[in-house]
Amino acid sequence: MKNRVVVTGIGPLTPIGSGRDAFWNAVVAGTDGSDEVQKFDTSIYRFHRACEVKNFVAPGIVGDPGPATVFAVAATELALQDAGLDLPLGEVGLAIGTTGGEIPVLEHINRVRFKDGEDAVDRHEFEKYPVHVISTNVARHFGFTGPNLVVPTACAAGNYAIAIGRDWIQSGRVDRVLAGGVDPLSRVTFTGFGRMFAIAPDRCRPFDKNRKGITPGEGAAMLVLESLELAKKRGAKIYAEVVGCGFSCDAYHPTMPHPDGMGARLAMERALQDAGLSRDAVDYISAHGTGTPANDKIEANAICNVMGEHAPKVKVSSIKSMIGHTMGAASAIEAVACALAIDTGIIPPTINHETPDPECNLDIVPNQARTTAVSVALNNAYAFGGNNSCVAFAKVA
Amino acid sequence: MRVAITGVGLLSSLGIGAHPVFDNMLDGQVSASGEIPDFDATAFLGDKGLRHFDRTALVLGSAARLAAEQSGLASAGYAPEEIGVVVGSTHGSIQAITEFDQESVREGPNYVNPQDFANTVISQPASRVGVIFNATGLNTTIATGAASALDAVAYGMTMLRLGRVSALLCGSALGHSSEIEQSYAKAGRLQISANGVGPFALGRKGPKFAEGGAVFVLEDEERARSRNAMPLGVVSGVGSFFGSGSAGLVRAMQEAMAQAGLKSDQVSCVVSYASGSPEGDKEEGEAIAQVLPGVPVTAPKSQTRDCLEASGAIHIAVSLLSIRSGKIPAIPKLDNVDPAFSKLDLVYGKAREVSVKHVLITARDDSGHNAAVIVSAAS
Repeated sequence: MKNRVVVTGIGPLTPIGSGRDAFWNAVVAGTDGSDEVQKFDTSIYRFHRACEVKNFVAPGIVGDPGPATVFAVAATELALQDAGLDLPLGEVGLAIGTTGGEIPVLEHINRVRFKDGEDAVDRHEFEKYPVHVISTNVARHFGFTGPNLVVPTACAAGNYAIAIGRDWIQSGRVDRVLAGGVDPLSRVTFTGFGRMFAIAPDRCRPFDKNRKGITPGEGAAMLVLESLELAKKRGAKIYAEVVGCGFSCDAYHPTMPHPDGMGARLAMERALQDAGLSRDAVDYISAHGTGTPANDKIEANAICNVMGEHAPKVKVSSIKSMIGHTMGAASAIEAVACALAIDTGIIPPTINHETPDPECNLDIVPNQARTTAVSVALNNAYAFGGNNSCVAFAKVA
Repeated sequence: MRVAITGVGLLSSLGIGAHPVFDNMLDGQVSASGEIPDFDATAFLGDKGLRHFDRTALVLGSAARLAAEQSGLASAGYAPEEIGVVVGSTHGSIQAITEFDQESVREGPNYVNPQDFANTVISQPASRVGVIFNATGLNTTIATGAASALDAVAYGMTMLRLGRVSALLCGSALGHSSEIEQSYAKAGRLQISANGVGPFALGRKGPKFAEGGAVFVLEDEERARSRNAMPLGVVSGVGSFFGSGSAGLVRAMQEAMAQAGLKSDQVSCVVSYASGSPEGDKEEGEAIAQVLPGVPVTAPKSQTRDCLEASGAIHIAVSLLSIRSGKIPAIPKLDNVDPAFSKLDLVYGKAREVSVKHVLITARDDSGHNAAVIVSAAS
């Protein structure tokens, strides 16, 4: 018999608020976190807006690590606090998803090189960059031993990390895991999406007829996952159970999704199958919903296909309208939103909505949060390379 | 479920293809340039659509092609959604990533080629393999530094056993990169001009970098046999542990052995991760002496150089060939063994001929990521 896996702590670090209450209050209020970019000069870009984490007080960490580590440590601290867990915790699994990892470190190196020459680059700077240092640093900071990895599967990475954590607990390898995702705002990402003309000039409007692209974002979220047995034994608050995971790959194009949404469908179907749930059980889908013309149309189509006659009853929203596209952190933050939707019975809105798109024929919970019981929520996340994922959460009866 | 390896693709600075590389190892050859000789990816991947592949993706894709062909994957009867890709990678397309950023700093952000942006995500080499082989089952990249390739195999085993996919292209690659070579040399972690002193030797100063990679086809042994595919070996145990010092690697090795149901005297040899790193080799040696005293130990990096995260995959390939041939490649020119390793049965000078049934492959990263994989003879 496999162990059941539940979410007992959440640590969102986002452009609209950090920690459970600040984050959720901002989500429910429909807060737009976008603003003029502060971290770097955008005067030479065509686009100037992003969602940045503001008023952030960085935790002290040995060795002056890169910003992804700093975010991940802060989010882990929030999650542990929320779960009511004190250190030391010893053997804890740690799985962290990311897109670019500590890429701002590499950007810094290249900036110094360009300005002052190679010799001006600190000789140990590059060692802060390789992607696995994030989980290394977090584990060392908190003294976690146990299975430990980074899963750099781009913008679906948070879901991958949660699924890996669930596998570890289900198999009995550990009974507690910290899983989530992180990505600080990166100049490379801003440059790349800008060159693809995939950044919205003003606001991110997922599923809107006039959507023009993403708003680049940054953030992190870590979730405490525990076996149901351990959670009950210590009397922990249980937000939701992780009941199913589904993955697929379009195997189609480095950046474009498959036009028929083949992989998006397969991931949702597999998550439902893994959870042993029928489509009729689904109340809420936290969409990948980036706000690009291609993604939203294809995702909406895939949701309609999988949900069939049940589709009109499913609420679908994208909190990327509020926090921007936080890359590898996105699906981890959205997993927190799913857990809180189940826990509070409030569904986050898709803000900035003006004009319905007949090609996205879904109840996208426009502009206003909605109060309704949520028993089952699906968390969609897709990535470059056509990497698709879906994690199913359910209320623990 | 026993997980069989039915195909292996290997590219290293010692050659292309598992057999040629292994023969060169037995012959005592040592990598001269660190680059794969006469590497033309179009020979494996065709000449269309490769323009925006970076070197890591080209090596990975070519290794995957060799593995898929040996395994007969295309005609194995697996539906696309039954096939997945799992890659161990910490640096991804590092050279393409840094060049993309350098170009934007130098020329301005509006002058970069958007087609190259895809390379900046660490998972892009895995994604490109997914496209080439139409593997729609799943596509995962695992990063644990130098332990990445072995941890990818461990993750792949879990995916197969959970039934999420039925066959996997699983491995790791790292293409030549001046960013890696220069940055790590600057930090004292790699040597540009080595003093010829390698793994386990007295006076070793650190590894030299080389490109390379290996990919395997993993599938259920029974299903492989039912389609008359020949298992080259089975993955009988995996272990992984985060913790500093030799204790972490000891734990990973013990976990792998417990999973394989093996006692220390049943392990035929250790394919060690030792690279010539002063501290790293020491911890590695301590762990092996503690868990597998008296078991022959070899260190392929003495010949292939250090391919960082891809090394573990190369070592699995070497292990399969050792099982098949009954030969353990020797560490060449190990004249002056560090006395710290006096308890180890190091294979040096001349290849050892012995029946090889179970090979334990180690990997450790200075970060504290440790992993071990045991590859066993199929029957």
